[in-house]
Amino acid sequence: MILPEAFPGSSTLIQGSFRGSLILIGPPGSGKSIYCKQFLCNAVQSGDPGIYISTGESVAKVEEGMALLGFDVDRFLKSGLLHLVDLQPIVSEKPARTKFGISGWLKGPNSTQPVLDIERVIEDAVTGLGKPAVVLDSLTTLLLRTPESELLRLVQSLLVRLKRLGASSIFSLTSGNYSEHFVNVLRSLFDGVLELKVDESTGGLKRLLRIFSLKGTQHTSDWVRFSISDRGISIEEQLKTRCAMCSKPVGAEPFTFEVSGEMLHFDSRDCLITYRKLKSVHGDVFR
Amino acid sequence: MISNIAAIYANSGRKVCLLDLDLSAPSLYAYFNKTPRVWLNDVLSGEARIEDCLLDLSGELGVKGQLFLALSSPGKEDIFNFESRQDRKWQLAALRRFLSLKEELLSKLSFDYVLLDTSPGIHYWSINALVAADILILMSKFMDMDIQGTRKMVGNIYDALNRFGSKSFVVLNRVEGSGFTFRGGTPVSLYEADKDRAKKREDEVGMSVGLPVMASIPCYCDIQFDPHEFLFAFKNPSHPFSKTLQSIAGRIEEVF
Repeated sequence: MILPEAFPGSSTLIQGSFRGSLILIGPPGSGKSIYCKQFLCNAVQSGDPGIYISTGESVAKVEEGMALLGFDVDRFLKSGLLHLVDLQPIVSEKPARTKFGISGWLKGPNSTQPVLDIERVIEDAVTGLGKPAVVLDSLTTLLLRTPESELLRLVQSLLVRLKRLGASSIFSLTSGNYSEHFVNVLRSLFDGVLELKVDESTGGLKRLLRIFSLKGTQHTSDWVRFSISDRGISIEEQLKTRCAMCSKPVGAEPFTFEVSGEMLHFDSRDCLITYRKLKSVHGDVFR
Repeated sequence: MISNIAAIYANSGRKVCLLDLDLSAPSLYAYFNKTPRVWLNDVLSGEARIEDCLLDLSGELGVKGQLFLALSSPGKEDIFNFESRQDRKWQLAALRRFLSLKEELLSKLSFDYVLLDTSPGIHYWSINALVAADILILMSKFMDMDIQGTRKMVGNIYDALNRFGSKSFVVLNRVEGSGFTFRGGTPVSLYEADKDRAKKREDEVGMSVGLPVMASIPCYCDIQFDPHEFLFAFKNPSHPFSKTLQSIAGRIEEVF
């Protein structure tokens, strides 16, 4: 039996298992929402109940995005395994097929206390679901009306609740101009921090992911390239190359060294230097 | 020397791990008179974790910091197993374990220093130990035969490693000058009293072997002929021998 991934790419990037809370930070267009959808689709497909709380996209858009990843949204909505929660700040153009949500809270009667409303809606959604997978995409939109300190309180309270439920979760945040205090505290509330970035320096667009921290696991912290296709998020082939010295997966920008016409890849400068030292003293025997 | 340096670092508040990587002729088990449940050999073979192999001597020695030991097995079978029985694939896997073990000690277990004790010969595991280290200290006696052997070793191994960033030094052991003279009523070792001569000798050896000489340790009869010498520099910090080792410990930190 193949165990489902803890999060997209985790089977390649970490040693051991992980279940807990993650904050996913990246600039606009780096793939945060798709990553979140992939995470939730994987969880639901493996039998866990899933809750997708959308603050930026309409629920209809979320459904479309999941369908594009080859996910049978209708089937899982009907089975009650998938729940979509509409927390958009403005009213959805298309009515959502969800029993949870306070779409339009920015202009609604409770807009002065959106945190309380959001907490209540999320509590309603997660109640009685066992060990769910939960996505909140994204915290950035909530900051439109919620002060940083209030949002930290909301996140902390939700994470405590989710932990009690044994949930795995990803909350996303668009990187931006927040206070240092807010970002530091926010990062510390989660069990792990994932970062995304986009690299256009070589002409094309490269999407990169790295695990900045992940409690209780051994993992690579290198940036690794990932791609998005109709089969979802996949860590690119190059990552399946292993370091010639330590055997760990090689990151997006490997160190290379040519030996007898063969290009060897290394995950770090230290490994490359160690290899060259060993080769220089052991000679050709060392391969 | 390495055990004394380890104790000096540990007593200055550092967290130190001393590994016996002289797999073909282990000696630290005898020096510390310890028989661990798990040997370093078991860790390198992939049969145990480094945490299971570490012996914590901090309380027993009463150092201010922490001193841990990982000992190599003196068993005939274990030595033979490592030196000649295993094939290249197995040796490479053991080497990978050793390199990740070093990384684990420094990053996960937060050791300040990992000291590797190995033999000077061109053995597979001695070379691996040298490759893994950032600073290499080659002990040599001030004798033609030793100097010649050191020169050969430097040409064969140390030069190659230095090209990739290793920092290598020679420490001259058992040099002359342990006798005492009196200066203003205070006893001073002959070595200390004639530093110019010592410096000249170090420069000559350095030129000859092709590596800088970090220090010279005079031969002291009270240590040399003590059958139960054990962490002398730690227990007798004001002795000239201990002062020399303290200065070597300081020089190593400067090189870092």
